[in-house]
Order: sequence, then C-alpha cells, then structure tokens
Amino acid sequence: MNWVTIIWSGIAAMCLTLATIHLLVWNKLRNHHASLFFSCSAAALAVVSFFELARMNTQSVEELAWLGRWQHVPQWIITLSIVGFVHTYLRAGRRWLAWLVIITRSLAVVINFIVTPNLTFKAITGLRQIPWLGEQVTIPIGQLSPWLALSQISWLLLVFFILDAARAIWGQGERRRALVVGGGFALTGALTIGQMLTALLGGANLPTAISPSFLPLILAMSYELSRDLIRVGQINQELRQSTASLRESEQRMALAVETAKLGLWVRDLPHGAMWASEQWRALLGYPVGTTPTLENFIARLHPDDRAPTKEALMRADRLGGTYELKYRVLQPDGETRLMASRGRIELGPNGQAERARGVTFDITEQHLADMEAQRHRTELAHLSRVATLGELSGSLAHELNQPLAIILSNAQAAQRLLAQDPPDVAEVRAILTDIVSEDRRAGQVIQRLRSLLKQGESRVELLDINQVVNEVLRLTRSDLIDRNVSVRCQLAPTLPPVYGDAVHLQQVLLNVLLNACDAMEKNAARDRIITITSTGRDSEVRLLVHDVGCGLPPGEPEQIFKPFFTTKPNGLGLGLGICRSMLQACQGRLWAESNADRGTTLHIALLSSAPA
Amino acid sequence: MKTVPGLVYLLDDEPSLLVALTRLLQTEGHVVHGFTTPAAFLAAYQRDEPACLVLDVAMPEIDGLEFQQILRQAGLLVPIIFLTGHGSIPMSVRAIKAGAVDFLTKPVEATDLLRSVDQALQRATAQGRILREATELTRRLAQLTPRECEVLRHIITGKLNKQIAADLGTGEQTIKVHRGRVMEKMGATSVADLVRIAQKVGLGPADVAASV
Repeated sequence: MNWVTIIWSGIAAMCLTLATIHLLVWNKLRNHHASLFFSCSAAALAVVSFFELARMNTQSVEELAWLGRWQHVPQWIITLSIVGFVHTYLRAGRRWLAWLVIITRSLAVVINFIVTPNLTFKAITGLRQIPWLGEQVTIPIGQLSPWLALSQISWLLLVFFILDAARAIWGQGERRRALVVGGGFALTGALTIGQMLTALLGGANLPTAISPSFLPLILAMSYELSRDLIRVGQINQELRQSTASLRESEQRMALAVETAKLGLWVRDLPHGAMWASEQWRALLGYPVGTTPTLENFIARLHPDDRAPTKEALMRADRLGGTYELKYRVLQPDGETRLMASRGRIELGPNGQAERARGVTFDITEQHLADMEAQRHRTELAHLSRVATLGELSGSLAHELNQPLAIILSNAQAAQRLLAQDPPDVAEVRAILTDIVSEDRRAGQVIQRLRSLLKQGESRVELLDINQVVNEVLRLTRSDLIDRNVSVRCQLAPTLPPVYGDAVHLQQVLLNVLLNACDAMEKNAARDRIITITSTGRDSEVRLLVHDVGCGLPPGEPEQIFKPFFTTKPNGLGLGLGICRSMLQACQGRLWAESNADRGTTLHIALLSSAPA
Repeated sequence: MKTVPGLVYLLDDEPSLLVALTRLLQTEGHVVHGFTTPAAFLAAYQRDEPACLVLDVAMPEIDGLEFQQILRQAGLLVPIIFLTGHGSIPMSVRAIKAGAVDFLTKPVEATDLLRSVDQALQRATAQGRILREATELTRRLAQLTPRECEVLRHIITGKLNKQIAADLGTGEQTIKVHRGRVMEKMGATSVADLVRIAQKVGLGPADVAASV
C-alpha cells in the first residue's frame, strides 16, 4: 500500500458512503431532490477517483486513453448533479448560466467520444513513470488537444454559476450557507483548474486528478445536507410533539364542548350560509338531518324572542366585535328552554364582516336556580323583616292603640253629650271630626305595617331619605320611649332623592336602630342617645346612625355582617347580612365604624340622583 | 254613686288624647287641665285644691312611674291614675304600691276612667280635709304658751289637776286655769277631744316616769 492508493481509495470510499446515505434519504424523502443530486455527484466522484487511480497505475497507452475518455462520463454526471443540487437546494443561480454549463459540458463529452484518443490529448505518444507521494505513478506524454479548453470553460462556468448562486443567497441573508457551498466550490474550482493547468501546461511532473479537489465541495454539500437532515429530524420530533399536544388539546376541547353541552356554530355572513355542530342542532331541537339556516333558527325561537333576536344579530353583524344573546327555544316536545349564545364577528382582509363564530349553551337550569336563589333571598328578607317587626310589637301596639284610645274616649264623650238636654251638637261635630282623623291615622299605621309585612319583589325608586327616617321613627317611637332611648336627628334639609326600595330601606334602618338600642341596654336611662345624621356628598347620600352603646364585638368590624354572627342570646345573626345585601341590590353600602369615644356608628350610603 | 265634680289634671304627650279625655271628663262636670309635659303640669299645679292626675306611663321625657316618685318626694300627694298602652302586671303593682289610685289600659272605657277619677277625687278631698284640720290644729297649738303646752301634755295622760299641780310644783287652782285656756285655744270640749287632737298633731304625752 502507498499514499496514492490510500488517498484515492479513501476518497472513493467516503464518496460512496455519502452517496449511499443520501440515496437512502432520498428514498425516504422522494421530494428532497437535493439528496438525489448529491448522491449522484458523490457516486460519480467515487467513479472518477477509481478512474484516476487506474490511470496512475496503468502500463499501456491504450488503457490510459480509454480511461481518460470514459472518465468524462462521471465528470458529466458530477456537473449535472451539482447544477441540479444548486438549483433545487439553494433555489438560486441564473438559469441561463446553468444551461450554458450543461451544454458546454455535454458538448465536451460528445466531442470526447468523437475525437481520438480523447478530449484531453490530440495524441498520446508514451507513458512516463514518475515518483509521487512515495510511489511510482504513470502519467501520459503527448500533445494536448485544443478541445481541452471547452472542458476548462465548462468548469469555469460552473464556478461562476455557483458563486453567483452563493452571492444571491448571501443577499437573501443565508450567509452561512452561501459561505459553505460557495466557499467549498470556489476552493474546488481553484484547485481543479490550477492543478490541471499546472499538470498539463506547466509540464510539471504531476498526474491530472480532480477527485481530491472536488472533495471539499462534496464535503460542503454533505455538511449542508446533514444539517438539513438533523433539522428535519428535529422538526419531525417537534411536529410529532405538537401533533400529540394538538390532538390532546383537541380531545380536551371536545371533552369540554361535550361536557358543557356547548353548541358550536359558524355563520358565513356574505352568503348567509350557516354551519352548526350536532350538539347545537340538538340544543335547538332540529330533527336529524335538517340543515340549519338563519330562517329556520329564528323559527325555532319563542315567538316573543324572534324579532328581538333577529334584530340583535343584525346589529351585531353590522357593529362587529363580540356579542351575547339570550333567547328561548321552543323544543319539539313543547318545552321552552333558555339559551345563551356568545358570538364573535370575524373581519375579512378588507375590513368587511366575513363570518360570525360562536357557542350556544342551555342556561335553563342556571336561570331557574338563579330565580330560586332570588326567591329565597326575598323570602329571607321578608322573614327577617317580620322578625324585626316582632321586636317592635310594643311600638306597633302603641301606634294602633293611641288612635283607638282617642277614638273611644271621643266617641264615649259624644254619647254622653248627646244624652244631655239639650245636646251639645257643636261639640259632637268637633268630636266626629277628630274621630275621622284618628281613624285615618290608624289606617295609615296599618298601611305602613302592611307594606313592611308584604312579601314582594324589590322595587327600586327615587326616595326622600329623610322621609324614610321619619317613617321609621314614627314606627319605633314608643319602643324607643319604652327603652328610654332618645333619638336626635340631624337631617340635612335639602338632599337629592336616592335610589332604593322604600320597604327595604325602612327595614335596614329599623334593624340598625334596634341594634343601637340593644347596644345601649346597659347604659343609664339618661345615657341612651341615638344620633341620626343625613348628609349628601357627590352622587351619594349617607345616613349615619350613631350610638353610645357597648361598641362592636372584639375582632373584625366586618364580622357583624357575616351570616349567623350574633351577640344577642336569641339572635339569629342574619339581620345585618340581609340588610347589606338588600342595600347592595340598589348599589348602596352598609358598614360599621367604632366611635372615637364609645359606641358604634353604622353608615348607610345610597346612590343619589345628583350628578357626580 | 253620684259624681262630685272636681279638678282633674291630664298629662299625656299626645294632644289629641288630651282633648278627647277632656271632653269625656267635662261631661261629668269636672274641671280639666291638660298638659303635654311634666314641667307644664308642675308649673300649673295648685297643691291646696283637691285634684287628681291622669298620667301617661310612657312619655318621651320621663317615665310615668318615675314621675310618681318625684311627686311623692316633693310632698305632692295628688292621687294618680295611670294610663298605659301596654302595661305589665309588675308595672301596675309597683304603681299601686306607690300609691296610685288605678292603673288603666288604653283604650280606656269611659266608665272605668270616670269611676277611677271619682275615687281619686274622693281621696283628694279626704286628704284635703285631713290636711286642713292638721293645719288648723297646728295653728292652734302654736297659740299655746310653753306652760300651757306642758299642761296639755299632762292632761292627755289622764291625770287630775291635783296630780298635775304636784308634778309641776304649783297650785291646783293655777292648773285649773291653764286647763281651761288650753281647752279653749284648742277648741276641745272634753279631755277625749284633746287626746285625739294631740294625736293628730303628733304631740306626745308628758314623761310618765317623772310622775310616779
């Protein structure tokens, strides 16, 4: 063995290996033509290197001439493959230059087979053995053919073609690729041409061999392709992962859609067409196999909801963005279900509404539960009111007793007056007037009571807060007297009306007043004072109920609003919580603060009609 | 029972009720003064005339039972009839124990109220008579000289003139003269009379031990 054999066999082996690998790659990825082109060029270079090795070892002129002639075939393949590779892989290079390379190289091959002995030599006169790399190698002696220039021009054109392509992709920003391929080829071209010219023209004692100089190009191409393969592998991996996660999220989505019983739909706005999922059609009660349209959708709705829904849809389509609808659907079995639908208008490239996409779901149960909860709240508020009024029984008895007592005494006085002779008719007339007015007063007390005891929907209206305070004080008057509590009112004379439910507001105030009374139970009789202040501030009216009692229980002031929190032996602990929720229903607030000296102040804040 | 018209004070914070009660009481010939506040009543009250007070238990300024205490402490013994919207038994017991004539619930029946007012006025009249008598006797007692007073205290122990004279160290004749003046000044006709009067004005008998 010697260096020439080792190097040329090594080159051939390396090229064949690479060719095989990339052929296999191409076999898997048929549309990856770059691999095929590379494989061809590598295989051809392997053949070239075998030819060169044979040439360097030959002992006959005929054999050398034959080898020199047939070597052009793999060279032709190399040229074509490289052009193909550059074209398919780099997607660059001037087309005409490519054709020129192919034509000149093909022409060279054709001429090579016409002239004798081959394209390189006009005539081979003999052989010469020269020592090279520690071995005796054969080189031809003869006259060079002028056609050799055609081969060299073809090589030069190939160099230009590749450099031009590299420049183009450099310009596109793919600098690394341009450097590797362009640099690889530039090196190859320079080596080939230089070596050939030195070998043939310079008369140097060197064999003509192109395979070592083509090796850098082959390696550069292989490097590029391998990088691609690695990237393909990575992408494949990522793709597999993302496919898996996509499938996972699709399944999750499907599960969510199915579990939540969401009906999906898309409306094509310009064409008025509609697509809807099976679930949606089931929700709307479509018979199996019916194609939904906007018209038959509207027809399935409750008659009262048809026109408003259609209008809302049209408005949404016009305005774009997202929208939310609620409508009742008449099911085939006669049942009415309440649906909520949320949609989004998608705009086309020219800003035109293109399609609406959304979900529909059944909110009947939720709605019923909401109504039930609302009903419970109303009931609870009512019960709490009745309970509060129960605590006021003394007051109520007094409020009714007082007019009744006045009426009775008046009436009995009248009876006596009429029994006299002569009867004092003028006095009796005055008495009757008083009786009528007292009767009215009793009627009003009952009216007031009835409105408090009535179980009804909350009705928010504009109220005079001071009037509410006075009403409640009238109701509680005798209870306050019995409990030795005196009330001082500091009511602002001109306050804007507030938003609230009169009954609820009275209930809240009643509760707060009775709590204040309870808080002062241990105070001396002269030391039980409640101060009620009303003030207006911005768009709010505040009512402050100040007592001088035992103060808030230790801990958070907020705890007194929690359900079942109570400091009273027989308390339910619901009063203040209910009061707060009643106020919240009309955007009011209720909170407690400890006074600087002693006792507590309850704050009631209500939204007023005054501008902020 | 025949009603004797008298002076009735009404105290209730409800003017309409005052009017109604006034009318009712006037049909029986009573003279009625109505007040809505305790202060107004106190300003107008005439302690020398027999009268009664119809008093509301629940007033904003003061509790009726409390007001009763205040009146008693001030020595104003006007008989009181309580009126209440919702009285309890303990409350009525307290009122009656403290000297109230009656404890009535609103709405009050005319007959109940008028009967209670009659009782109260009778009590007031009786109280007035006792008071007048006591005042008169006290005035008479004040006219006695210290020696006569001394003699009086001995007379009511039932001693004879001779015994008194011995006790006081004077003559029987002198005591006889004193006794005559005492009887005259005190308006008594007999020793028994004198004993009763002395009891009424709270005059005790002389120290008996000294006489033994």
